[in-house]
Amino acid sequence: MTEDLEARLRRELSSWAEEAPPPTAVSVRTLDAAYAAPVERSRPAWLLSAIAACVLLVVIGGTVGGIALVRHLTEPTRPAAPTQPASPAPPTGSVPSVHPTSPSPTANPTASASSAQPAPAPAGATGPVPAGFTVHDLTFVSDDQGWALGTAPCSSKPCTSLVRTSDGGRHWVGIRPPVVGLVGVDDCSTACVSNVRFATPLVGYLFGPQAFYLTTDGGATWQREAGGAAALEIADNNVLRVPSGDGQGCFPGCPVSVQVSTIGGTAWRTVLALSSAQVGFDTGVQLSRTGGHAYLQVYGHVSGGASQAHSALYVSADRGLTWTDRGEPCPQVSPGEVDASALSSASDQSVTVLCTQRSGSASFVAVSTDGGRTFRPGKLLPNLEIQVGSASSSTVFAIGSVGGRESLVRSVDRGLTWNVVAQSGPATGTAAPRGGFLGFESATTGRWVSLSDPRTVWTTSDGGATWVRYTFPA
Amino acid sequence: MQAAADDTVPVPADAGVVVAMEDFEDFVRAHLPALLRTAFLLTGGDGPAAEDAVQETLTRLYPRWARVQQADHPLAYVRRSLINTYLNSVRSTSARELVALDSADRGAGGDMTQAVGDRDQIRRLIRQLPERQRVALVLRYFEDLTDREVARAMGCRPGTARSLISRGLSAVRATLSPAQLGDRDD
Repeated sequence: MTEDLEARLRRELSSWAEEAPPPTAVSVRTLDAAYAAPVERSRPAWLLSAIAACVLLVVIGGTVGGIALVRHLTEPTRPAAPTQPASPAPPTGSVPSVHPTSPSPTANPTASASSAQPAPAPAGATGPVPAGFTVHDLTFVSDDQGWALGTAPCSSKPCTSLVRTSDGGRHWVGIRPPVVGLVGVDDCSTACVSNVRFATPLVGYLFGPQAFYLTTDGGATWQREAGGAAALEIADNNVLRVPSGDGQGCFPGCPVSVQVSTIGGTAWRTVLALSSAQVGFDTGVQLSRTGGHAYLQVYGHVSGGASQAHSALYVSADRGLTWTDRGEPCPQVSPGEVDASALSSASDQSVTVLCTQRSGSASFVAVSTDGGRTFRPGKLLPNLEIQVGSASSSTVFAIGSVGGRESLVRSVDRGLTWNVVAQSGPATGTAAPRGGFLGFESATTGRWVSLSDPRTVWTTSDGGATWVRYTFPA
Repeated sequence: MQAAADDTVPVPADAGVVVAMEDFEDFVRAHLPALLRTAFLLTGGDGPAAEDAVQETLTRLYPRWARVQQADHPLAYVRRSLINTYLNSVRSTSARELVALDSADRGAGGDMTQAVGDRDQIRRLIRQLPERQRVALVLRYFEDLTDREVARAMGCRPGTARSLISRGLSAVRATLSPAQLGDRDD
């Protein structure tokens, strides 16, 4: 009897199921709903050919260090001299123009630290995302909690805007930033910010060349602190920052220093100070962190000058408290001089740099797995400018122009071979990229904001093999 | 170390986010009809509710589609999500469902031929089951899942799944006459 009933049930259910609605309508509605909001359908044109301007390279594999390209500094601080001989003597020649380098994408390296903490909901009023919001910088403290700094059309400048997500970028709300301009958008003769970094769901920083703001309530309120910062990264329960100068420029180069504080602290202590003589004709610095390791790269002047334009890499294995000068990290494997132009680090302690021919347009990535002592070069890539983000020793991402479109390319063999994994709009063709973001808060979860479409945040949760996008409403 | 120059970056014709979207569309095309039939049975024959459950499930999974693809059995993953979607919706609409059951019950209380009556009665009995028992029966006798697979789909222990199936069968059996239990459809 039971067997008869079971057989009967099978027949009845199978028969009944045939009366289900036809699938066509719900298929169409499902695809429309899935693509409409918050993820938008994308049909990029996959064209392959030569390249142009902005490239951003992120190397992933473990947790990501942070990166920020910086303006020059001015104030020398109490020296904490490097243990190695100083970098090459300053070159002679004409005074290089001091130009601000754009903030590069940064992954917040504190995901592992903050993820263990409870995630209190930040206080304060929230509102809708401003219409037309475009992203200038991103920061995430976990796969789900993140903030985006940007701007949106408004009636009364400055229009700097800040938005927050608690679900990995599927939904965003607006929060109130301080009234301050945005680098690249507003007149920055006074205070402007260029970057945002959060250490925890409550503690975060907004900073720029002449502005430094701290929040301890998730962005509901901001306190302005003294000075500005050209770079700031958080890892292993402390904060490192590179103080910025007054924007007036320095000859032959501006001193560079690194300061440390506790998360949310307001007292800063200098842990590295490089004089103008040590820095030379630098065009900026880049700070990257992963766990207890920190990396500071000071870039030489690559646009001119009679002398070489090598960079200098300073490394720390104790959370930024002491530093070692490793000199120019790029292997000189290409005909002519090769100089580092970007930096990233990963949780497997590998360090990756982007190396660019001084004459010519080819670049390659070079990876170190011994704390920056030696670097192994990848394949030379003509017509592709790459900026290195953070690294595992094997997986690397670059942003460049392929087929006239700004493209995200990926290598899983330390830069030997590359594949396009996503494409955005037409390549901007600008030599000095502004905005854009590429970074990972874990080995698998990362974000990309292209220069050609700064209203769209691309997210991967599989280590960059595939990406889905969210576009802020126009 | 030599670094060989090359004129092109090797790039496949399809990659990245296009792969993710195409995979999602391929999945929808291939599996939505079956998911819709399952949802139709889960809801006790409620077409609009079944469509809503399927649409909501797939829409919510789309942003995480790469993760879905990484599952050992993506279809099973989606089906489990569908079941959760349906059970969650039931919790918030249980009062309305009781009204619908009363209407269906009244509608089926009139004259019936033996075959059609038996079919409607089976369906009515299935529709009147507690949701989790109905879900268990659908998974067991329509999807042909094993007890362990039913348990995994419902997020419960195999023993619980067997109990739900057994109680569902008992409820149906208790209402059908011995003749009805032995009948075959024409």
